[in-house]
Amino acid sequence: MLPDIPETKGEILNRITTAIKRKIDADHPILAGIKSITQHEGVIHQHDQIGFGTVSEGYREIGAPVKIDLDEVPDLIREKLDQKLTGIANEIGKQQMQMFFRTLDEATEKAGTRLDNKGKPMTADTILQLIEMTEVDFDRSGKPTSSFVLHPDMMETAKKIDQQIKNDPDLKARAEAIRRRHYESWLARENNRKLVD
Amino acid sequence: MLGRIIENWLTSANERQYQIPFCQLLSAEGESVVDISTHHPHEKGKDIVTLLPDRTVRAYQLKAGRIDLSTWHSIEGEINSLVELPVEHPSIGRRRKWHEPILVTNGDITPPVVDQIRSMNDAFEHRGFPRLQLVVKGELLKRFGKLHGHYLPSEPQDFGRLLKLILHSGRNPLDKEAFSALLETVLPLGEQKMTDRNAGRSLASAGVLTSYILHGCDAAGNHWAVFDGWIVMAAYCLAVSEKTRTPERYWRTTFDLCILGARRALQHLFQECKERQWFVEGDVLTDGHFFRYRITILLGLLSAWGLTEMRRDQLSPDADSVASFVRRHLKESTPWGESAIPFYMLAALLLEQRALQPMAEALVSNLIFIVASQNGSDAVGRPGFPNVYYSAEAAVRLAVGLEPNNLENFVGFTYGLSPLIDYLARRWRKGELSRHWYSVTRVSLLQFVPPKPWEWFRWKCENGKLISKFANEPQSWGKLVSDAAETDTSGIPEVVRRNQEFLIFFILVFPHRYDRAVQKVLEDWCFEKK
Repeated sequence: MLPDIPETKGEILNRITTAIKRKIDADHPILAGIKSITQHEGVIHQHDQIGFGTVSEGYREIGAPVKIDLDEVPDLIREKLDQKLTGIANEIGKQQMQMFFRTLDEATEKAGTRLDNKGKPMTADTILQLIEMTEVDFDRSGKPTSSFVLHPDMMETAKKIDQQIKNDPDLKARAEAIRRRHYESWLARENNRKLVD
Repeated sequence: MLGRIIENWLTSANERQYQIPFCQLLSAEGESVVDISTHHPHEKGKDIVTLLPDRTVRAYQLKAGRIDLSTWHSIEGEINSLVELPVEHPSIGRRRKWHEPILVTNGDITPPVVDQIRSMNDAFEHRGFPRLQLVVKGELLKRFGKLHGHYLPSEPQDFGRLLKLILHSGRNPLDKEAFSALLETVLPLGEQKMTDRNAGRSLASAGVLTSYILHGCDAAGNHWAVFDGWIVMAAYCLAVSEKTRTPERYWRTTFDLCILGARRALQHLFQECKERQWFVEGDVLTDGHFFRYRITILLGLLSAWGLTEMRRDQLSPDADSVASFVRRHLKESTPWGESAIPFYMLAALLLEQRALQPMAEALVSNLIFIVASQNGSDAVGRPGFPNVYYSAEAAVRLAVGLEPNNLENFVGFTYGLSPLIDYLARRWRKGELSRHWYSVTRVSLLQFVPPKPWEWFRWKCENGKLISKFANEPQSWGKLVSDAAETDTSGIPEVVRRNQEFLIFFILVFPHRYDRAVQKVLEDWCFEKK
């Protein structure tokens, strides 16, 4: 073989993998916010899914094809390597987001918490219906901890609807009633975290 | 290469250090080891007593190094006892035929001594005793070499692992993962078919390899690593017995010798702790990173010693000394992660056995608090409490930033909480558990289930299922108590139930196998009437 430094290159690869993971987390805060577990043994994870009992599932593999031309190799360090990594991180991040939405789609379909607007424009009513359907948690100061994920194109509409709800007394009262119901059911859930006779 | 390894090991071992592998050798050659002395004055010159298939009894006296005239004069009395005093052992009884006395040394015997032995043998024979037989270094090397036969790492990579383990052996903790990986290459755990006798021989060979690997640790007085090594080997012995359904007579001796090795290591550690005033070790400037974890490890290892000694003698003074050690040093200890839980749980069981129930319960309650608060979903943004797959050393490396590429976050999950809850529920500590229940519901309770019973003994299972679930909200106290009382222990292999002392040692070495069932079996064992 030709002279090589495989162990050190292995360490560099570890560092690169970490950098990719960090970039994906930075680019996709939704993914970074999902609770994750490293399974050290076995390949099946069994867990309870609310409303569906016990679910036992394996893992899906994701990856990004990396094309490196041999003439690229001599200069594949620093900025050029960073560019390559950015490409890999973007591709894996995209796949993870697709997987996230696919899983969310399946879960909401199964749970009956999906609201299909059938291509019609989003309205205050749809948003309130959506909020009503979800389970909302609160922090110790009583602020909701849930967040909404929107396509960037819908941001402007969402902001307008938010203003509309704040300014229209009926919508505001409805939103407040929903918040109160969510808060009460959260309190009830929190109150259940105890031993009883 | 193996010849050099054996020679290096054999010539640097003292008589105590090669006693266990020599027994392993005798067993593989067909002798049944019936007694191994602990070098007491009343051993009557016999370090090892064995029985041959034709019921002939052999008694061995082990020595280390060259035996010249001055050494000979110092051991002559022991040799006379070896030859002239009868073997007394319950499994042997009185027999018409006298035992065969054998002097073994890992060095050589000088010609003047050989002459003396020849004359002594004539005198022995004249008085009706058998002649003293000799086994010296050259013969031992041949016999150990023959024992390994084909049961050695065959791939260069595996042989490299063996060498690395031998060279690394000393003051460091044992690399259990690498050692387990090595054992998996020399034991019949794959698809290959092997006769019962050959399965037994492969275990004996692996047992002797273990001696080579642990020799450096033994020489450095690293009792913790020696203990770990023998328990890993014992676990793989049971893995082979479960996987191949090999009858007990083919693996029992190897298993017993491993347990003996582990017990001796614990005994030496216990002695060292009794004699020490300070528990600082190695470089003092950096010892703060490990000092409190060391105390935790000592609490667990010594408690294991105390609990097993109590099993032999309820009034064991060693158990009292250990209980007093735990009381004195508990406050200096800190858990590094969930793999520290078994160490604390053995301490709690020992305290309980010594009528220190409130202290034991407070300890368990405190552990619940630590795990639930550090890994509860409120701990977002923090790394959490390392899980059962992280050793004390791995936890130190994470904490001081020596693992910059490890992004594992432990928040939200726990492996060790359920057995702790069971422990307090079985003691009707409703108040304590009520206090913790809110935090308990905020962390997912994990349990790994190996795919087959034999894989329970493996360091790492490729397959198997990780089960996660949340605690009930609300939780009925009555149901919690009845669930804890009737914990399903069927996941623990049958062979462990028949060797429960092993379980106490096993969970300190394989903390990732500690779960509700293990805790229940341990408690039942502690409270079982002898």
